[in-house]
Amino acid sequence: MMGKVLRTIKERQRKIISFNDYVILTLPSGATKIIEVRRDGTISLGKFGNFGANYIVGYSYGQSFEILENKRVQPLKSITYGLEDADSNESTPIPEFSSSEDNRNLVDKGDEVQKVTAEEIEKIKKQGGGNEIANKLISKIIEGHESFDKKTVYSQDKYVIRKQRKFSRRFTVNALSPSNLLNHMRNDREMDKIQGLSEEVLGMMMSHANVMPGGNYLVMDETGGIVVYAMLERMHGEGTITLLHENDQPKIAHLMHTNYSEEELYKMVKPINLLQFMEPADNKPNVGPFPDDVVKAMPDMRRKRYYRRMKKVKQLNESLDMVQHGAFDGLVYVSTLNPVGFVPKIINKIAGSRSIVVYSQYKEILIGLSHIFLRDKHILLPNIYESRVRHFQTIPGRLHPTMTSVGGGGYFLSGIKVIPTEGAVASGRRSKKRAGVEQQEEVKKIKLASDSSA
Amino acid sequence: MSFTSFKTKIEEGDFVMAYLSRTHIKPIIVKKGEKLNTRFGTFPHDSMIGLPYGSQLMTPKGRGFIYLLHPTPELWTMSLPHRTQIVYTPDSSYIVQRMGVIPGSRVIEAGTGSGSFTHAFVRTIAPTGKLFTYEFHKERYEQAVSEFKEHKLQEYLICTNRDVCADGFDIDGTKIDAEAVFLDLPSPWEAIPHLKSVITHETEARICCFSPCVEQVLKTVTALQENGWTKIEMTEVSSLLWESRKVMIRELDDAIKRLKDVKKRQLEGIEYMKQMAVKYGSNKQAKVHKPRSKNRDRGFNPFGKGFHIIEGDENYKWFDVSKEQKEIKTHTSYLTFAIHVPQLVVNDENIEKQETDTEKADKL
Repeated sequence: MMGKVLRTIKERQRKIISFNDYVILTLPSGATKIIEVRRDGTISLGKFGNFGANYIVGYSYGQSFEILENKRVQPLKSITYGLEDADSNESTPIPEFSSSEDNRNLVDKGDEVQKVTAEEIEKIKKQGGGNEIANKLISKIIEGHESFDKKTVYSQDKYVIRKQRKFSRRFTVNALSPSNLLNHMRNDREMDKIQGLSEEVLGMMMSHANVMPGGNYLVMDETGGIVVYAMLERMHGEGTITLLHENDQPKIAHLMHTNYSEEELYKMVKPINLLQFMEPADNKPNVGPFPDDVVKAMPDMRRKRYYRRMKKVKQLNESLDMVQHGAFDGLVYVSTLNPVGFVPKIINKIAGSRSIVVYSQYKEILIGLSHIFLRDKHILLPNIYESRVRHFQTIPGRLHPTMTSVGGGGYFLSGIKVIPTEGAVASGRRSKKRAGVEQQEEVKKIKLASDSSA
Repeated sequence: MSFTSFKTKIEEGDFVMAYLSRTHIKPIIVKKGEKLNTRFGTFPHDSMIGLPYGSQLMTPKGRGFIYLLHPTPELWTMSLPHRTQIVYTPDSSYIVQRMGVIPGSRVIEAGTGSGSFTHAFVRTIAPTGKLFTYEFHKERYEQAVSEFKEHKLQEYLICTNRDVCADGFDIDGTKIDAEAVFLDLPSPWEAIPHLKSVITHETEARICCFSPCVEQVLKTVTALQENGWTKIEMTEVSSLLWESRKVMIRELDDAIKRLKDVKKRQLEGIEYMKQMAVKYGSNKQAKVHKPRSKNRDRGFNPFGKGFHIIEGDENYKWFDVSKEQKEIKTHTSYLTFAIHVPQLVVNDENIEKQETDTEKADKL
């Protein structure tokens, strides 16, 4: 289905752009787009033009291209080649212009300063499909800018870069890695679909949850499968993900575009819904298996359906056994289902000295959970973490943080499951605690006394 | 072993992290007959063998307890002996995620330093990847090597005592082919020109340079540009740890009621004194206040004034809040990322080969 092929683990490392791969294209503006590299297919980038999928196959991932005429492309050293690095100014010739020391003579007249009209721009765009049109257009726009020479050098550069980002017919082909996929979702401002999760928080959660080959993890994932995908990448085909979900089917649409085959997903990802999880005895699958002769007598379609069904039943039974056994190597909880009510109920399914990681877009939700764990002593170090990456415009001489970035990123509570001994209280703590209890009792007595006297 | 796979029960020879407190985690190797001495008392190793990881262990006299934790790179980072400034989890985890390091990755790390990041790298690249780590300080190198041996990491890494800035990364007889490079060096720009022969030229290679000062970053960016690295971006990770707390909800109405109550009782007090004055005249000795008891009646006392109230006391109302730590790390280092994309020559032959490969895969 959907051109999916079984791939070896080596291939999955996505070294070379190949047919049937889903890839992420990044445009000079930073916009991203997921496409499938179909043999003989044409990929359209809207106003940036079209190109043939065959022309990008065989290059390394990370390769940048410029669109030429006739759907052809030309490999480029980088997407900004000749743009931001002033030394290699080969690709886009910029007309020589004088500049100003400062902007004292620059008067903001809005659109009036630009003599090139929108119609003229559209007309130029239609002259061809290659990037030389973009260069022509940019030169034209600069020439048409009445007060371009009244800008400072910095401002002129910025202006040119902005126009290049807008018109350059270039793109980079990036692998559909969990990070790239997540950043694509963030870029598209589909924040709610991924619960506001950021790359830095995802990475930190993977570390805190100690995700590695051979682990058996209990997972809730309300990001459409990005969390499961990130975990699979770190598990190397070994171990399992018991995927708890609250619908008839788990929502892991993003996994469909990755290089994982159905067979691999079947082996590693075990879906189980909350009802089956909480009340396993009443919700065990009770179909078949039928005797061989009955199966043989089935019409083809029905037999196929039967086999498919039995496969699912087998998987579900495995998950149920896993849950009953209750010794998961970690909990990764990314769900809008209130963790305060749910997570304390399932920590007994986690083995000793394994991590739990509970994500929420909102810190407030995690505070209640942290309070519970501070009291009940089954979770060590219940801390709430936040992490944020600040990106910089990295041009020597003009180094500064980017002016804006995508907000949000979320929070996670992490802790280590421990097995407390009955009645264990540290010697140092005992006196303090006892003092606390005594004091509270005293306060209560006084209150009672004052109440009765009132 | 246990940094690269999970264990359930503690056995002799295991590497265990004995947790005393948040700031005190003692790594031990469990040996029969040995004892762990802590400020809470003495714990014989024999009592640990056979327990599940995560167990709480009491001293024989019940004077105190510790937790026996499974080793993880994150706990190791919290407990390790600092030989240098170390890379903490918020930075290291972002670097691993952004560089796409996964099992099977081949990674270069220079310098090894205290080996904190080394543990995190190994956890992620095992079982099929390889880490090439370099340390130019002789003693630090030796300590690191013995630590890696003790933690059973050596099959996943090659640790070399070398000044990579002067002598490069090449190792005789070994093809390194790194897909990811992490440079935590005082002058990474001196090491960058040596990378050409050790990074992969089959696909994209990624680099992260870890430097605390902007001046270092500028030199690094120039060196990266000169050596064919692109998509150069400096970033900075800032992370916060929040503790959950409760603060009392103190309402205006209660404050006003209390003021009224205080006023009322003040008036009563004045009245009382007036009565006393009438009763005893100018006899000052007798003009005493009401006798004070230790827990004197404070009248309406909605906020528990004068008492030590425990956070979360059921007799009061509380907000659930979060609080930053008293001291936070505002700067660790700048992370400068870049990629190196080999400019492959693609002709029809390559594509045909690719097609047959895909067909083969299709048939599988």
